[in-house]
This record gives sequence, structure tokens and C-alpha cells, in this order.
Amino acid sequence: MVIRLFITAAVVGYLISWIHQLLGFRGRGDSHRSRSLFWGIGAAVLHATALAVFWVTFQSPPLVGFGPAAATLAMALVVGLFLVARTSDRSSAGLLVLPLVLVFLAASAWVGPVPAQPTSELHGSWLVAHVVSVLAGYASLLLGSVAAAMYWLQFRALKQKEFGNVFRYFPSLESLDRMNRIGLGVGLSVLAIGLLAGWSLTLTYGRGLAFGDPDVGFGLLTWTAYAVALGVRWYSGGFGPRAARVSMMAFLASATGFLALRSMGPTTEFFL
Amino acid sequence: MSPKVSGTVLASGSVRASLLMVGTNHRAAPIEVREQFALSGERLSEWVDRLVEQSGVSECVVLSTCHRTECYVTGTDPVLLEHVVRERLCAATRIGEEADQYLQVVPGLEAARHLFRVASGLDSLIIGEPQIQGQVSSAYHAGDARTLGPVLHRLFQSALAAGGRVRSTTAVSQGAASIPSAAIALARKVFGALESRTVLVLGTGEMGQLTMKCLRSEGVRRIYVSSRNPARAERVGGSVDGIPLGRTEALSRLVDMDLVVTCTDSDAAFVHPYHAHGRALEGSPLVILDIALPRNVDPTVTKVPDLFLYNVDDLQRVVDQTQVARTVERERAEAIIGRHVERYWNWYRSREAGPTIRQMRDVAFALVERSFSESHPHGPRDMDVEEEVRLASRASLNKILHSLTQATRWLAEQPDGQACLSSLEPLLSPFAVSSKVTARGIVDSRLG
Repeated sequence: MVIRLFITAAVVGYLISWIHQLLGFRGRGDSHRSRSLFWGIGAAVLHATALAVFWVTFQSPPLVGFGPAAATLAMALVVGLFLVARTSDRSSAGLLVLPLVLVFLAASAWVGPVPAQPTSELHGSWLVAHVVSVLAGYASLLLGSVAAAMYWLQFRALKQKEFGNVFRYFPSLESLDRMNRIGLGVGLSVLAIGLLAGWSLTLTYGRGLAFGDPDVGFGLLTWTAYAVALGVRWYSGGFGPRAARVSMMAFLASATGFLALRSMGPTTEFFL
Repeated sequence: MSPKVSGTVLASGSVRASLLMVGTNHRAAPIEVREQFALSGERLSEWVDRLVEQSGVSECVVLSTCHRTECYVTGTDPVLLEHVVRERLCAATRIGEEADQYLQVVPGLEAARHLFRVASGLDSLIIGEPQIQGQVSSAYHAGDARTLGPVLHRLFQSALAAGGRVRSTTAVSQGAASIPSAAIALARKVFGALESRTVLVLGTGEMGQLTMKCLRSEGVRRIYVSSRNPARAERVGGSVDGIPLGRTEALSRLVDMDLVVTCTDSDAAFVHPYHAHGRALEGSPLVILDIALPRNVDPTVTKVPDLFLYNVDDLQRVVDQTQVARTVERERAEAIIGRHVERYWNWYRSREAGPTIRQMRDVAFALVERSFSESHPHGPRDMDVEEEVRLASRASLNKILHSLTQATRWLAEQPDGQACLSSLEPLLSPFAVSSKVTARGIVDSRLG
């Protein structure tokens, strides 16, 4: 109950933060950036408190089960957003990242932040390393996709000479290019480590790699989709609208795959 | 323009300070006249020092920029104050009394509002321009104890606070507001920082030279300069550490550039899509700013991927959109200024209650003193007891007067407060005059 209360309060905080981002985007003054940051930090504190309370209450980190994992993924996104926002002209990334945070956190509050029971042999520090790496990888890839979407919008505005809110509020193409490069590079590396950790974990217990497991399927699908996006980037000689589109398609493929696997496959508590 | 009288001589003889702005700006005078009024450095501080030495002038701050020379002054007699400042300002010019016709006088509340609008950039030629805030701050900080008093201290602090508030909560300062800043803004939206970019400037005329200087000030390190006349390219390029290139070579190397600025007087477009075709790779954008008329760049070059072409009209559109956005925000900015001006003016008017409050206290203490002297006109007096009673009476009186002081200050802040205060003064003055004793006098005599 307390955890859900903290998460709900954090959702409200992030929502207010996003509204300020939106007002800033609509050209209603620079102060909305700082107000957005203020509310964002406040919400992040509540969010972190919820995760800490979860850890203390259930004596395990909030990683297993959809509710806790979604809340932790949202936290990883927020941390990524703060790291990105340290470069002032990319603070506008919150305009697209905060809705994702809100979706994950609201889903967590709705499903209920309670831990699922892991299979008895799958626990311990390997499991933690696996899940943390995978969630950090997903968060980094999501930030890369957001950068790609912003790049595409800014490119369109510049090419079509539409000097409106996107032109004014979004950062430079160069900045978004760097954000996408780092997001994809770090995301793919960390996700690969996470998947390998998961594989070695299952091998340790003699279970082998279960390709039929939606968790594994989703991880491999995401990794492959983003690897293609990074490949297109590399093949193109740099970042451009085509590479940006492929990055966005990788996100769509990953999101569609997640929904399909959730709806078709057997429901397991491990899946995200 | 004749000033309103904002200073008042009270019945008690105390005089309230008047606030005036005397000066000129881009709306009142052409540049030839404005430069006559310009004051800076030693000349400015000397001028201010001499002004405050004049009788009737209490405080003075001069805001002197390329668009305005405005003198904010306080003094006892507004008519004398205006006369003195006008005279001194005209004397500072070479045209003397002729300059007087360009001077504006803004009194009291409107002078405060004017400074608040100036600090917020609403009175600037380009609405919201950011430099003015720093210039107001410098003008204020140039003052010292001799030239600055409480009225101007508070006025400038409030104006700077209002300016900061307007800039942070509205969009009056956002966006590019001139053609050069629009060009830089467009290039920055593609490349971020420009320092490490390679730039080619085609054209060595006035516009070309201006562009090169602008790019240098943005920190661009590698600038290629091209002209049909190689000697001229070398000469002009040398002045900004640019690398000279012939026209043909420049066009063949177009694909190596990040930013190209064309500003030649050529009659026909000479930059064509095939010049940029080698740049087919994604992720290495090329920005061409064609600021020449007739245009130097064939508009079909935009078909080349990752090539952004902007002409003068596009840059003007960026400026226009900024101006539109700033104009929309102007109303919100004016509302913020209105609130800050009101707060300042309330404080200013509450100060005007000072003489009345002092007079009220003098009268009250004088009456207490008179009551003491009348209570034992001839009889024996126990000095210790009398002292105790006196202290108790004064403590009670202070408590009563505290509420009255607050009420008087509040009264002074009201729109017709001055009239109310003036009507109080005749009621108080006979007592103060007849008693011939003031609160300060009583305190001084008691404390030895």
C-alpha cells in the first residue's frame, strides 16, 4: 500500500514535470525548464523511495515480476534522462522520455508492485546482475530511440524550413546524433552482457537457453532490432534521417514484439 | 514635456523626494544626436559627481547605451531637478541648447515603469534583447554612496529583478532577432558548436567581411575565403586569418565544407547541385546560407540529401517568427512589470509617510512631556518615580504608535494617500510647533 502510494505520488510529480516541458515546448518561457527539473527531481526522490521501501519490505530488489521490473525500468530511464539533461540543450528530451516513464510507472502501480516468486534455483547475485543489465540496456536503447525521433523531427523542420516549436525547442542535430550513438552503443553492450549473464545463469543450473521463453525471445528480438539500427548507422557513414527512421523502427519492432509475446506466450512472472 | 510635481513640501517643513527620468533614446532622437549625449567611463562618473554636487539633486544613475542616455535622479524640487539635469545634459553635448528638444522627462511612477520596461528589454529596438539587462546592472553598480540613495537603490534592484523575472517566465528573449543571429542559430541547430566546423565564404564584399568577423566571434577556426579576384581573396582573408581560394577551387571543394555562406554580386546562380553531389553520405550535413541578391545558389541543390539551403527570406522568416512570439509574450511581460512597479511604488509612497510619522511621534511624545510638566507645576517631585512612569508611558505610547505607523504607511500606499496624509499634517503641526519639543529632543535630553 505504501509502495503504491509513493509510486502514485511519483506519477503525479512526473506528470507535472512533463506538463512544464510541454509548456516550455509551446514557448511559454524558459522558467518551465527549471520547474520541470524541480518536479522531476521531486518525483524521482519519491520513485527511489518506493523502490527502497519495496527492497526493505520484501527483502529483495525490485527486479522480478512485471510491477517491480517496470518501476525499475522507469527509474533507469529517469537516471538516463538526468545524465542526458546535464548537457543543457538536451534537457528537452524529457518531452518524449517522461511519457515513457509515466507509462511504465503507471503500469507498475496498476499491476501492483509486488514480487513474483522466482524459480527456486534462479536467484542470487547472477540474477540481479542479469536483470539490472537487461533493464539498463533497455533504458539506454529507449533513450537512443527518443534521440532518433527528435532528430527526425528536427531534420524535417530544418529541411522544410518550418521554424516553429520543434526548431526552437529541440537540440541541434549534432547533439541528437551523439545521444543516439551513445544510447545505442551503451544499450546494445549492456543488453548483451545482461543476456549473456542470463544465459550463463541458466547453463549453471543445467537448463540451457530457452528460446521459447518470452523473456529470452524479447531480449534477443530487441538486441537484434537495435543491432540492425546501429548497423544502418554505421553503413550510412553517420547519422541521418534514414538511420533515425531505422532506430525508431527498432523501437516499434521491440514494443510490438513485447506486446505480442505478452499476449501470445505463456504468462510468466519473470517477463519484464 | 513639463513634469508632474511628484515632490511635496509638507506642512512640517520636511520635503519628500521626487523621482525623475531625464534623457533621450532611439525613439526621441536620431543616432547623430544620441551619440552627442553618450556618456561613458571617466566622463560619465565626472558628470554624475558634478550633478549630485548641485543643490536639490540627491541621487543620480545614468544609463548610457547606444540606444539611450537616461538619467534617473531624485531631488527635493522636481522643477529645479528637471532644469538642472536638462542643463547639464545639454552642456555635455557639442550642440548645447539645441539638444534640449530631444530630451524627455518622465516623472514619478512613470519613470519607474520606464526603467522596469527598459531592464526587461521591452523598450529596446529589438524586443527582449538580452544586453540591456547587463547594461542596467552596470549603470547601477557604477554608483556609490554619494550618488545612490535608498530610492534609486530600490528602483534599480526592483527593475533588475523584474527584468530577470520577465526573461525567465516569458519568451520575450527567446529566438533569433536579427539576420546574423538567425544565420548563426540555423547553423547551430545543425552543427551545435561551430568552432570545429569548416566554413567557406564566397564573396569578399562588405557582407562577406561582416560574415567572416561574425564567424570568427563564434569561434570558427577554419574559414576559407573565395573571390573572383584572387588578390582580393588573399587580402580580405588575411584580415581574419582566412585561407584564400579561387572560385573554381572553392566550388570543387564544396563537398569538404560544413557551412557555406554566399554573398557575391554575381548576376546568376553559380552553385549547382552537382557541386554538392560528392556529399552523398548521410550524417555529414552541409548548410548553405545564400544571403546574396540575386541568389548565388540554384534552389534545386536542396534535393541533395543532408543539404540545407537558406536564403535571406528564410532568415527573415526566423526573425519574424521570433518577433511574433515576442510580441505575443509582451502582454504577459507587461503584466509582470505592472506587478513589480506596483510593489516598488507602494514602497516609494510608504516612504512618503515618513515625515508624517515622525511628526506624529514628535507630537505624541511632546504631549506626554507636557502632561508631566503640567501635573506637578510647583509641588515636590520624586525623580525616580517620575522616571519610571515616564518610561512606562513611553512604552505604552510606542505600542499605540506602532499600529498608527503601520496604518499611516498603508494610507500612504493608497491611490489618494498623499491627500489623506496632507490633511493629517495641519492637525498635527500646531501641537508640534507649540510644544517646541520633539521626540528626538526628549530622548536626547533623557539619555544625556
